[in-house]
This record gives sequence, structure tokens and C-alpha cells, in this order.
Amino acid sequence: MRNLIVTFVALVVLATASWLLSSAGAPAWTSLLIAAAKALAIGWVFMELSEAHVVPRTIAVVAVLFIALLIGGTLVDVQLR
Amino acid sequence: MTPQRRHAFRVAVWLAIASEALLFSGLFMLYASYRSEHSTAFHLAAAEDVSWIGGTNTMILLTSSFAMAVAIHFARLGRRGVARGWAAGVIVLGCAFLAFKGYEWSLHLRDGIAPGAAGDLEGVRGASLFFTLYYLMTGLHALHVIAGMLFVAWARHRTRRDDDPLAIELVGVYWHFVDVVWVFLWPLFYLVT
Repeated sequence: MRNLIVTFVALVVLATASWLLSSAGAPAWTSLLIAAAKALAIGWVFMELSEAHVVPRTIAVVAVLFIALLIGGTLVDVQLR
Repeated sequence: MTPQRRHAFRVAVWLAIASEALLFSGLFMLYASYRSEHSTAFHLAAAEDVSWIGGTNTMILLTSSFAMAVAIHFARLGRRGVARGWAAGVIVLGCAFLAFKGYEWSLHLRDGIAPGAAGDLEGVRGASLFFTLYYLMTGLHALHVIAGMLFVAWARHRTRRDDDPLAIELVGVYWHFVDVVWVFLWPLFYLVT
């Protein structure tokens, strides 16, 4: 239960930081980096990947790798236009 | 239920979530691609979104994820009444999220902002693309919230007569995924102004 409370507080702090940084004119990647940190916290603690069997963990990792491939392909496309 | 069957259910849910994640990531890449071409238009268009509603909805979904995790915690302890209470909280928060989202859409529609129409930014090339993606992605996400609420209601009902927390655990994984998608939608449509 303590883990859940600590994670929730961390998520609220990160969301607030994201909003404050965006209001202060920070670049877009900072908000996305904070979003990735929040997603990691939710996945690891709330979705219990930290305690999951190797199969769900592998599925999650493969999905993230596919998404990274999509991001990489899009970035290359944008850079080479 | 046999351990193999429980494991199979868990794997099935994770596979469904992985395919959903790829669906949303395709849309995110579409957003990134158009944004690189119409960067000024996307900045101007994002400023039209109601930032306090985006922020409020973020807090609502984060809180609902916490409530879901607590419901699972109590379901495992066998305290079914408490678990059902927290699950009801998840449904109430889901309704609040949809109410704020509907209110924001109504404000946009009043201002002439709709899929393919950019209201005051009509002359800005690329602005209507932003709003088309906005309606498509937040609409698709809202459908997932509705589906999630129905799943939570079903799992909550099961908890009334069943000691096994598996249903609420599996529904919880799906609900957290819906939260993760919003965690990325929020900066893209509200913060990058």
C-alpha cells in the first residue's frame, strides 16, 4: 500500500512539474520525457510489471520496442525531408 | 481456476494491450509527422485547447489509477466491500473525465472548431489537421475510457460474489493502460503551445 501512495504522489508531482515547465516555455521534449517517466511508474508499480511473469514482461518490452521502431522511422523521415 | 488458465488470461490481456498500444502509437506518429510539417499551426492550434480542462482530466485519471490499484490491493486481502467502494470511485472519476471532455468539445464546437474545421484559425494551413487529430485521438481515448468503466463495473459486480481477485486485477491492467495513453495525449494537445 505504501508503494501505491508513494507512486501516486510522484505522479502528481511529475504532472505538476510538466505543467509548470510548459508554462515557463520549456521545450516540448521535456513534457514528453516527463510523460515517459510517468508511464514507466504506472507500468512498473500500478500495472505490476515489477512482479509480473516473464511472458507479460516480454510482451510489454516487445511493444515498447515496436513503438521505438515507429518513432525512429518517423524521426528519420522528418530529418531526411 | 487452474494456474495455467489464470496465466493464459493474464497473457491475453497483455497481448490486447500491446496491440492497443501499437494502434495509438501509429496515431502519435501521424501527429509527429504532421507537426513537423505544420509546426507553427500546431502551436497556435494547441493554444486553443482549454488547458485547465486538460490538467484537471490528467489529475482525474491519475487519481483513478491510484483508486484502481487500491481496489486490487483490498480485493487480494479479501476485503471485498472496501474493494468495491474503490472500484466505484474509479467509475465516478471516469464519468468526471468524460464530463470535462464533453464540456471541452462543446466549447470547441461552439467556436467552430470541429474535425476538418479550425474556427478562428481557418486561414492557418495545418490548423484543421491538428483539430482533426485532436478529435480522432481524444475521441478514441474516450471510447477506451467508456469501455474501461464498463469492465470495472463488471469486475466490481463479480467481486460481490467471488473471492477471486483475478477479474479486478485484469481490468485494472486495462484501466492503467488507458491512463498511460492520456499521459501522452496531455502534453501533445495541451502543453506544446
